Amino acid sequence: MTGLELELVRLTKKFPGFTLGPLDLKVEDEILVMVGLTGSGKTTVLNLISGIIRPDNGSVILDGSEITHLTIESRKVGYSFQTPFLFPHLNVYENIIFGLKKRDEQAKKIYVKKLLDDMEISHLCNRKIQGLSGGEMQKVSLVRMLAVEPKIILMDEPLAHLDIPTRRKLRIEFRRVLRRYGVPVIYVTHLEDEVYSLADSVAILSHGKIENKGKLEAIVSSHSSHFVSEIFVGANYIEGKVIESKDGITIIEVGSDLVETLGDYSTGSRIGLLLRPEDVFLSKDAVKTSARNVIRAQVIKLVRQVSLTDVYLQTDYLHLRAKITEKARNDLGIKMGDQIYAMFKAISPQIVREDS
Amino acid sequence: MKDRNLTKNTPGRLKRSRFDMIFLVLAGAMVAYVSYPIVNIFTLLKPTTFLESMVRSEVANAFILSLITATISTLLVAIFGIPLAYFLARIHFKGKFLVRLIVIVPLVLPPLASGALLLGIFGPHSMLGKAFPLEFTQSVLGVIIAQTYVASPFMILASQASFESVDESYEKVARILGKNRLETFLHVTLPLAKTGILVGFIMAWVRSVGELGATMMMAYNPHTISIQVFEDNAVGGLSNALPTILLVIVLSMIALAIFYILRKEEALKPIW
Amino acid sequence: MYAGSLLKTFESALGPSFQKDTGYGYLGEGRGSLQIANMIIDEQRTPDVFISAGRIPILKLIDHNPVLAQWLVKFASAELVIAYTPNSAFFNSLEKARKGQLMWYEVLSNDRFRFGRTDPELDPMGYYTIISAKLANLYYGDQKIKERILGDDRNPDQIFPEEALKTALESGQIDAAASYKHEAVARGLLYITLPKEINLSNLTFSNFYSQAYYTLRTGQTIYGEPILFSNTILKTSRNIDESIVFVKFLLSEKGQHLLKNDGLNPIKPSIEGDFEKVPSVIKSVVAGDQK
Repeated sequence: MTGLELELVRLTKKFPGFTLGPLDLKVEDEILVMVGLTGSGKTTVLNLISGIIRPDNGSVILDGSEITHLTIESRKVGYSFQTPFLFPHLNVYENIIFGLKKRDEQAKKIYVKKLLDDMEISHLCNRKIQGLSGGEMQKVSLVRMLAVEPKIILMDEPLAHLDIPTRRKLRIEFRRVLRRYGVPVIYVTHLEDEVYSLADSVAILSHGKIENKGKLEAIVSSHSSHFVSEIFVGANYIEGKVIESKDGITIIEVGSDLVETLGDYSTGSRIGLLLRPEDVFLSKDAVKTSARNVIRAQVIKLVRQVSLTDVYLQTDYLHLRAKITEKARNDLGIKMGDQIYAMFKAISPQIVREDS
Repeated sequence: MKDRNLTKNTPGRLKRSRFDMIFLVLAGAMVAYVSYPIVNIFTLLKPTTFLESMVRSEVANAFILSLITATISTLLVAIFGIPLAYFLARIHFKGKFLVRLIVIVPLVLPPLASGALLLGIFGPHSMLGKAFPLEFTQSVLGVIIAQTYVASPFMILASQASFESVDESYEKVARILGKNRLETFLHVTLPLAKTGILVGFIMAWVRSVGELGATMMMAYNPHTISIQVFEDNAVGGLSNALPTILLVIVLSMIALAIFYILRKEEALKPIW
Repeated sequence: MYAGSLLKTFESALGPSFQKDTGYGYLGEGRGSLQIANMIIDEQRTPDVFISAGRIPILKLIDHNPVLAQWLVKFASAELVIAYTPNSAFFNSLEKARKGQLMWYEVLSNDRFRFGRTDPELDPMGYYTIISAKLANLYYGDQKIKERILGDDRNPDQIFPEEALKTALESGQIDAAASYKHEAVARGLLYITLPKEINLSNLTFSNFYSQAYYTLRTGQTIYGEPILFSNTILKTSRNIDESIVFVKFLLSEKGQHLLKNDGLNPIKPSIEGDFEKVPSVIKSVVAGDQK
């Protein structure tokens, strides 16, 4: 924890037909996920921070010093693009040490080796980059960036081009490595589950302005604007501490409730899950079914959309949203204030975060 | 199940072989057109006179002069042309279109015209000629001036295309990793653009050796190999010029061989 | 710089010999004599010595303002012939003409006969050819000869650049070409000798020659005269001493011998122009004191 800070002060950049800013933003030693629709200016913000473009007004302050007018190479800003752009004429190791000064190479060897081991890519050291898979390339790109020890890390949708299984694995690994590294990270994505996987805080960019910014839980539960619901389709995010993990089933503690899900995790670690509203069943009685999770909760809101209804439920710690047909709601007679049972299978939740 | 074997008679395959045939015929015609005159030379050879002519000192001198001046001219064009090519590839500025036109001018002008124009500014009675005590014309310097002028577009255009094919993002990445613009150019841009620039080198070099019109104006003496061919032909006809012509062909083959050897070492292509 | 027809003589014999005997360097370039004069006037070339086919190109330099040359020495005469090779489509007829069995101009008048010559605007031989043809009209008493064998003065079908003319002949592109006798000899070509009255080689026929003329585009009119190769040292030469040695060599017995070997006809040198400006060494040679 180094307490480094990035600060954007009234940062402005004008384009024909679009103005970014004025932006004010403070990023502490955490992962800030920036979301927004295409064209909202997310990449422009990253370009301004890294120095690829210069602002018309305002300043960028990193670690206490103003870097607004510095050249790209003197900023010590790490920036990872969607396409990793590993240098084709160098092998993996040469790519990774590319940013190091010649005199530092020897000294940094141990550090670099540690990074490689951490990401489990040491065996790729002498490979030509043409033979790497998409996921391996993104890992190499991350190590290459970390090797020069930047003061802040910017990532622009790095997992966007990868297949889903790889994406799922890598976002967990990225969070682990980035947090261990201990500097601010601004991570841009348009994928909801990546927000949950990576974010400590969330900033929402809309038409060139920051519409909202705050801790993950605050933003998610605020549902303050129509726009937020556009981004967050409204999956349920459940976070809890692992109290038991055996035979492929893990039980986490969320307040006074217990949630069962698939997977092996170490006891004591915190995991985050995403649960789709469509996967939540409702019942008036506590029926024994194959669904492992049965949670007693109170109905606090009902939102009807033609033939479907969102039923918002709450326990002392848990907020859940269930999506059922209006017909079913009617048949079951579910009303505001009712105590009912929310049920879902252990298979349904998706693990998006793992913090030890 | 004899219908399984569809490869012979499907319409798709028939069209493919017709396409191949047409292209083969056209390509073959091209090869024949270029190679026949060269092959024909050997029928005109008279062995004794050939050997005699080969060892003439002026032929050897012309050969060496062409080798040296072509190399110097190519290096000059590289030193000044590659940065220009880089600017044209990367930077958008007012008047860029004009610069691109100017670059092509030596390519478009008939060499004799280029030579006459160069004579106008470098000749002994011109401003430059009078200002400096150097012999700009009818000298080795004149040969180099002429060759540099006509060979420059080849280097510049090839290098420009090569730089354009290198994604700017690689350069951005390098700078983000802490390399300044010069380091980026040397360690990233140049290696990735290597093959195209190499082509520019070879083309400029070969063009310099083959240059006749401008050199004839700027520096008839000392003789380059091309001028030697010209003079040998004027003196004694084709049979007299043959050995020199063959030497020129040998020179071109050497250049081509070097090009292929160097290219084999370039197995890489950017993947994104 | 020298008249193009002297290429072989100068590059293979005279030049090397001069270098060997005197130790001085020699650099030569051969072109049409008029073209050389034009290049000197345009400041495109600054040679030390200029050897011209005929006096006219050097006279142009003498008459120029500012003056570029001040005198010339006539040292050899040349003869106009018609050169051809076995590759010619009309080889048999030309052979007969050479042996005197046919009239040469009859052969050349044939509709399908392809004749080649150089540009009268650039090369003295070009205008000498035209003048010679006009003299043929007078000599044979037939006003149509020149038109039949040459057509227009600058007939594009017949005009070739000097370098390409011999090649065109040897490759069979043309059937015969106007040539100097020394050129034909140097290239090993067959040739038809023309009557002395029209071949511009004989001083005794000077008056006859002067009846025919050709007018350049500049307006200058050139009258028929014996073709006398002349030389001068340019006023702008920066190597006067060495140039004098070269001219001396050219006029010497050895030099004349080399010229004769290649079919030129050395004559007793005579000076034209500003006699005072001629270097004394050369004056002596011409006067016959030093041989």
